[in-house]
Amino acid sequence: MSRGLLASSNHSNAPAVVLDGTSKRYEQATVLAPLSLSVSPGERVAVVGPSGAGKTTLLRLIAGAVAPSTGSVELLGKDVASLRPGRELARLVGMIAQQFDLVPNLSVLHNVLVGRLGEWSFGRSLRSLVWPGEQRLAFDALERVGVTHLAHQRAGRLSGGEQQRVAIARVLVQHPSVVLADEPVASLDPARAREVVRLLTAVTEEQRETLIASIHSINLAREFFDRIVGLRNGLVQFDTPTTGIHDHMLEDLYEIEGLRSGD
Amino acid sequence: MGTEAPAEAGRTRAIESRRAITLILLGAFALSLFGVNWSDGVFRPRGLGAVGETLGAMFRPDLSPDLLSTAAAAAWQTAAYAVAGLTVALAIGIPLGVIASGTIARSRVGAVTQVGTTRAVLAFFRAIHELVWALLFVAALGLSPMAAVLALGIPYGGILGRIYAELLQDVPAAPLDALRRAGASEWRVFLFGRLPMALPDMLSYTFYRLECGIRSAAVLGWVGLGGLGFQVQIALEDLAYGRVWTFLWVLVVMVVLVDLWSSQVRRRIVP
Repeated sequence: MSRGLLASSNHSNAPAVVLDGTSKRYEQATVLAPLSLSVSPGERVAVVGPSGAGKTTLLRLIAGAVAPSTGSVELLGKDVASLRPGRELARLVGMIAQQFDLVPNLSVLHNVLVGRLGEWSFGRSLRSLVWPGEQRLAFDALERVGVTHLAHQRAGRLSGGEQQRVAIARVLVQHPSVVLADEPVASLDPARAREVVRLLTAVTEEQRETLIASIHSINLAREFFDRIVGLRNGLVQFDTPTTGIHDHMLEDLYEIEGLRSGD
Repeated sequence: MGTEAPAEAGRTRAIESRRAITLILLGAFALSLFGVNWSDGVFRPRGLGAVGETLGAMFRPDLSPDLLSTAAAAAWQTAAYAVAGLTVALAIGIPLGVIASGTIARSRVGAVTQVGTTRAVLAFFRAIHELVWALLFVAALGLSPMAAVLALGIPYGGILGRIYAELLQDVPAAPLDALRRAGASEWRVFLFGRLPMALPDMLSYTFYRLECGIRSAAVLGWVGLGGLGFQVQIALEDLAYGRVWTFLWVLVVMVVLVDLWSSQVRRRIVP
């Protein structure tokens, strides 16, 4: 629909993310049934659902990491399939994974500056291995996630919660229009999980970025997100503003097949 | 159930036949022991005395000042060969190893061609033993230090290149994906992801190769290139085992020193 130059030059009015009849099938298995979804710029969407519901696949489709089997994915009016991986895609979409995706032997500072690699020239990247460039940008991001004091530590020495903060700082420095987070707090204890989700939603809001996160904790989804999408067996069960969520919707979503608990 | 049974039976048969082969081989080994001429085929008559003499000298090395200064000079020469040889090996191994890892290729076809060609070159370098390279270079260049350095550097370059390639390939994938998602090209992924993650293992393997280089450099003395090996050879011809052990102990000390240095460096770099 809006693939022309006109649409792509007119970012402000285009939705941040549009999925139109998008599905994903691996051989015979349908991981994600055709679904349509439109996310406005600045919206904070939580994707919830049991394991194997297709949450990760949905995020990977939006990130352009996998191609849809049917339908399309548009970011700010641009078809993701038409974007070259690299700088162009990195300006539109960034991702925070569950854990373990920092480079353990590099300093925290270097890991944060990885967010700038898409923008830097090769010479600048090479120089930055020894004399990190744009340090103020990195320190600013580290300050916002509260780990400035760890800047010169090796990333591998940090705790899980600290590593996730660094991953958030990295995506802050990358500054894409859409930030995706795939179970960003799955490996953290509840108190740290809450703090990391609070930070993630706060800093992306400050930067006016759109946030889409898959998340296990319904409480965190209700507390920090505007909208909740419930996925089960690759199907969207509900897609409502957080205020419109009811307990029975969640019970149905997480119900174990053939086992009806509570009645 | 019906489909599992044949697979299970096949696995049991495979285990049974493996056991049968093990038994047959053990039986063959036991039988072969009867064919050995134990009385004078294995041990040289009066050889036991020679063993005692050689090993006894281990605890009585000749420590006269003259000999120690000879040993120091020979050790210096051997160390110099090893270090210079390893420098040549690094000059070969780093670039070829990076290309042979196929991690910086722009296309799949490019990767296959690069990996195939460089791996073949590296295999050629290390297929020929350093002693054979030494004989070839002595024939071509005469008994010059250059011959020793090249003889060590070429096969060691082949070994380093191959190991570097594998270490660069076998790094965790998640951080590399994170780099790509941040918009980094493959070269940047290499610099900020692969290289830092592979570096500790690359370094410790290089130190291990320096150890091997010292050993190999000592042996180069046998083809006339001097150093500790040459001194050992002279001492052996004089049947002066005390002197032999002086040089061997110096060799042991050198290897231990490299080992200590290696663990020092490693402690600083491992996260």
